[in-house]
Amino acid sequence: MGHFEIIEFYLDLVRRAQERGIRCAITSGMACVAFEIAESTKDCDLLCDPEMADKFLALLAESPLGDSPCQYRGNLSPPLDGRWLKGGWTSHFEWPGTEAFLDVFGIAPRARSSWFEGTSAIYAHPHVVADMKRTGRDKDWPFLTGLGVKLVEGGDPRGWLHVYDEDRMADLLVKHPEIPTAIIESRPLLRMLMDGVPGLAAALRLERTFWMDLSKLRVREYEKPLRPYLAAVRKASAGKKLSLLEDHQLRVACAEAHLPLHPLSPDILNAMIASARTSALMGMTPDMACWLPNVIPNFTLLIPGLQSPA
Amino acid sequence: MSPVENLAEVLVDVEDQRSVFEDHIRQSFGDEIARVSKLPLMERYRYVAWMIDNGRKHGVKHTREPRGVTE
Repeated sequence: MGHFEIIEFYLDLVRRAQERGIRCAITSGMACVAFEIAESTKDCDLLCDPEMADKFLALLAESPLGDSPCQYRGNLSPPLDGRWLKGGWTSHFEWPGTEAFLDVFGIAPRARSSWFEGTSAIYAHPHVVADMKRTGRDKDWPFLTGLGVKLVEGGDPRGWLHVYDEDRMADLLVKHPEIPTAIIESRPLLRMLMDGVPGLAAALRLERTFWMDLSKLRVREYEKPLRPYLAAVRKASAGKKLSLLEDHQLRVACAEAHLPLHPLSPDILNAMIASARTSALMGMTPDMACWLPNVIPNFTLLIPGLQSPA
Repeated sequence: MSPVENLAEVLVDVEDQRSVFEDHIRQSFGDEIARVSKLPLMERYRYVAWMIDNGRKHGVKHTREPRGVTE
């Protein structure tokens, strides 16, 4: 099966989900292609409203690709259940014998606003996709800048939050000299750009390193409870040939016993932030810390009870 | 104005008209991706699929280990 057929299958799956009233949107690489940044992306990342996870699971159960039925990918995948999706877990699916892979999540990592507010499109908003691209992988950052530039040029000043290239920033500022105060408050290093303060390139490197470290620490926190869950799923499913829905029930039972609903608490996040700050500032003068952003708004959707400092 | 000066002026105009976005795509991803990014959406997907199929033909393995969480 050629990969274009797989892409068409993903698009059709999302269209059918939306026709059934399931709030969902394609994000990450496939969305970047839609936003005119061609990326060689093989899998489909999908945001799905956690309250509609059961409906989406039912759709997957009746959506084979060719002769291949959908199934969970590996024993490590958490169940597609709103309780875990709300806590930031990702459910992984595949269609065996094909190269179709689907990752479903309910909360867009690091997104400052709910991804489904005001959108009925097949793709998540570029502002949300950009926040999700703020990962620990170097390869994602040029995409982040591209999305930011595209937003600014399209009249959405939130794009200024996502540009990590000094030259692009300078070019943008010539054409779009007004940056709203609220945006500058969210990203202090924009003040350096506006006022021509030297050291912008270093501040951009610092902020990027900080975000990358924070992303790696977040993933590590989720990986901690996965080992007992993996062992339980492996043991419970050994020697069984399960349908997707049977496998799902098994995983829910294992998750109820081993997988915390919310791996990140405010205390854990604050410790992660402190660690990422220290690590990013290594080799820099301590006063550079003032250019780092307050990232609490990027986690308020994920962590119940989290509030920005007054 | 000499033809060379005229050409230089035209090139400056082209530079001015090109968006920052186009410059970014060209400089970060190269001319080929910049060209593909301007194609209609399904043509862009077709190109991406062609790259992936081509990689597979030449032995590129596509393995996706589940992690339970997305970066």
